[in-house]
Amino acid sequence: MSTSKTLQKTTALLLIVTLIIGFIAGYLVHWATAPTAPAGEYVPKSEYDKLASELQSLKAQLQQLQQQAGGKPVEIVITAWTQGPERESIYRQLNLVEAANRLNAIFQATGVPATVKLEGDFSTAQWTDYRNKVFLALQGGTGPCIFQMEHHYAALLSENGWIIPLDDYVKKYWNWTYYDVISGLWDSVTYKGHIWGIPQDTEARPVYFNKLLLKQLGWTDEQINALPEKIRRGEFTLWDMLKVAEEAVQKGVVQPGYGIWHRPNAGPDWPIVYLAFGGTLQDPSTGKLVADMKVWKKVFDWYYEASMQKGKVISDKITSLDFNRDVHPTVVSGKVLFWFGGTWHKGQWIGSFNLTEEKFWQMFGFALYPAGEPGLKPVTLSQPQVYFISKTCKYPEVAFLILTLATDPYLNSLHAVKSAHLAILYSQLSLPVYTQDKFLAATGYMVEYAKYQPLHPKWSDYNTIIFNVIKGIETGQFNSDQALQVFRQNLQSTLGDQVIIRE
Amino acid sequence: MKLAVITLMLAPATVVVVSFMIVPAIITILMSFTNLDYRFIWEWVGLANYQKFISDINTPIFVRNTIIYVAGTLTFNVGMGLFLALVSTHIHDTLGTLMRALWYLPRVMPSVIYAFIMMWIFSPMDTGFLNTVLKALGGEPVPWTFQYYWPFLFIVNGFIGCSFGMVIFSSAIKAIPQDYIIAAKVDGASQLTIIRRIILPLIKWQIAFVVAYQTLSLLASFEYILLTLDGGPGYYSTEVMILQAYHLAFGQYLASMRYGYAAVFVTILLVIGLVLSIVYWRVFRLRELMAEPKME
Repeated sequence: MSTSKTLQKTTALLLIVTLIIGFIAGYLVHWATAPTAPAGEYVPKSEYDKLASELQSLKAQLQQLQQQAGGKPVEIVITAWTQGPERESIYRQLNLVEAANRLNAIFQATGVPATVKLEGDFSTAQWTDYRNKVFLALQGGTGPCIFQMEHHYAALLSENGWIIPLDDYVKKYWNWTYYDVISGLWDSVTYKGHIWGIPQDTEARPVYFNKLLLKQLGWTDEQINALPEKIRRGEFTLWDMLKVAEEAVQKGVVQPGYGIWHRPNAGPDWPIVYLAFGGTLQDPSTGKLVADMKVWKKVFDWYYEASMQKGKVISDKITSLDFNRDVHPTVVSGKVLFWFGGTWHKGQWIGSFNLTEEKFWQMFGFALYPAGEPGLKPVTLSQPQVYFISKTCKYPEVAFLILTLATDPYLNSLHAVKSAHLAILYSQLSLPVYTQDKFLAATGYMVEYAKYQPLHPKWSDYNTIIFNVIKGIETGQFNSDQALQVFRQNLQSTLGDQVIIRE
Repeated sequence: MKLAVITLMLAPATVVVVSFMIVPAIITILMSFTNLDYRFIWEWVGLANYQKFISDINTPIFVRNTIIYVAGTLTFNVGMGLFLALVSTHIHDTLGTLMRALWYLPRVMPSVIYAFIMMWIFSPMDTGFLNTVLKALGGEPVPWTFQYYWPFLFIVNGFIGCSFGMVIFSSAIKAIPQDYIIAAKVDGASQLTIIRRIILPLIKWQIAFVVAYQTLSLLASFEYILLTLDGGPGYYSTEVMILQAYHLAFGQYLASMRYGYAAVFVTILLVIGLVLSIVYWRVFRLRELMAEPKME
């Protein structure tokens, strides 16, 4: 028998063993905890005996294989690539390592002569570089077994046949942990009716406001503390925010251009203001991208008013700056009134930018993105990170078991607390390690208002066009009418019939 | 026998050139006629990508930026290289060597670190190095990379590019027989006259070569734009054709993966490069440069 055939057989046997163990463990837990159960749900003893004897037989076969391999346990290698880029998110990799350790412990306890070895690394490279590395590896057939990426890449990855659908596995192991996944997150990984990934974390992108600067502007503590709720009720809009920022500039509370700051580069945040003005990004019936030009006009009007051409609220230099060298230090030093950020920034500021927990609560408040206009709803954007399993993975079920064991309330909370990401499991919301974190508890409600980026292979192009056009407004190249014209032309030329332009 | 020897001698270089230059160039040209994208499928679309290139509203911006970037950086590279060569060959030898070594530093420094340092020096923020100095001297901070983005890019690229010219020009100047210089000095020529009438005419071949070589290099150069302004600060302010090709293929924050359309930009640059090579070959009479010397 060739080595590869032996290995395949070993794997198959291992999977069956694991299934049986899971089945037995699940049954025993059920038996121990269920107060009453209909008689029909009990596994008949004959069935149990049959499975137990099968397990013994499989173990014997594995031991035989082990002897053939010189007495060494069979080693299953699973590769996993994960990404920060912020180093605070290292639990994305560490939790997989821990899950592999737990799987090994189960193997050891049940006498399965096999070990799982998790190889791979956690990357702190730029997202673009990391993604290109993954895509090219997948295309070349040398990709990892497990990899982590943003949820909306499910569209592109599945269209290319690079990943496997996970519906059957999720169904099979539903009672292990997946019943506990916050239900809305399944939408973020579902494309064309299939589940393609397992949510790893989620986040919200709040607007941080500087309490100290608002006080200088004459706001009382009550007014400041009431702001998030006011925004939540839709009583404080984006235009109101702009007025406050303009006032802060006029009164010299902040320098011109320091009223509102946002990320300096391309990224997922750019459609949020459009969503706050009631825009939609995808047509549910056709799956095509949508650009509502009336709404985009409102968005560009808002950015034009905020720019140095008019209200002098958003600096024209912001897109010349570097995130870590210029932007974060400026926000943390308290020079900016409103910061369009992400929940994980709090983790970054404390971990990497010398902000203390105490100072954070003293200086910053946070809220949803206000509604664009009265009558609309506040929003935030969530971009869950997801674990995918590649098509070239030799042991997909073992890889899935690792993901299943990593999708654990405690492990996930370790990641959530360290990196300031939000819970993906209902049980995390009552877990002390999670609830003790004041910030996560205070931002948890935002997930209810979260919108997702569309799952569409061309979304990247759409998003980049938004960023480029807003850059043009902020640097004084366009007014809002010119911006709309350029935006339309770019959409038509780049996306063609993949976008529905609503006039 | 002679033919076999020649073939054997040329084979390694020929294999390298064909494998790593000609084949990729042909693949790129073929790719430009396809709709190759995130699906990695070669769908032949004829001239559709070229039609898109011509009709796209952003194309004139990319072409204009490429001309500005190549012309500006080339001027800086050659001018600065010449200046450094002249200065370093007119001072004490040890000092001249040290000066050339210092100016060579940016070229040997890792590009990411070099770009990071330049962004810090020219940062538009008050915390940037230049603005800190300006403020200390009682001046107003200047938004360098925002307001003067082209000069900034000329400098960033030029500090690296000029060292190439500097080394070649220095060698050429040092190769000029001292008799000419001494005779001119005896005749009462000023230093400026010596440079204008003797040195520059005698190193014209080297200048021609550096101009030709660097023009072709700059057409395909985007590394430092990517690492500093990434086509910004405004709407495609510094997006040159080759950078747009990179963005189309590999994206900015999100993956774009429009390989077919990106190949159009590269193909057009390839054609421009070939045309310029022929023009330079004729205008600068580079054949004569490579001819047998007429005197020892």
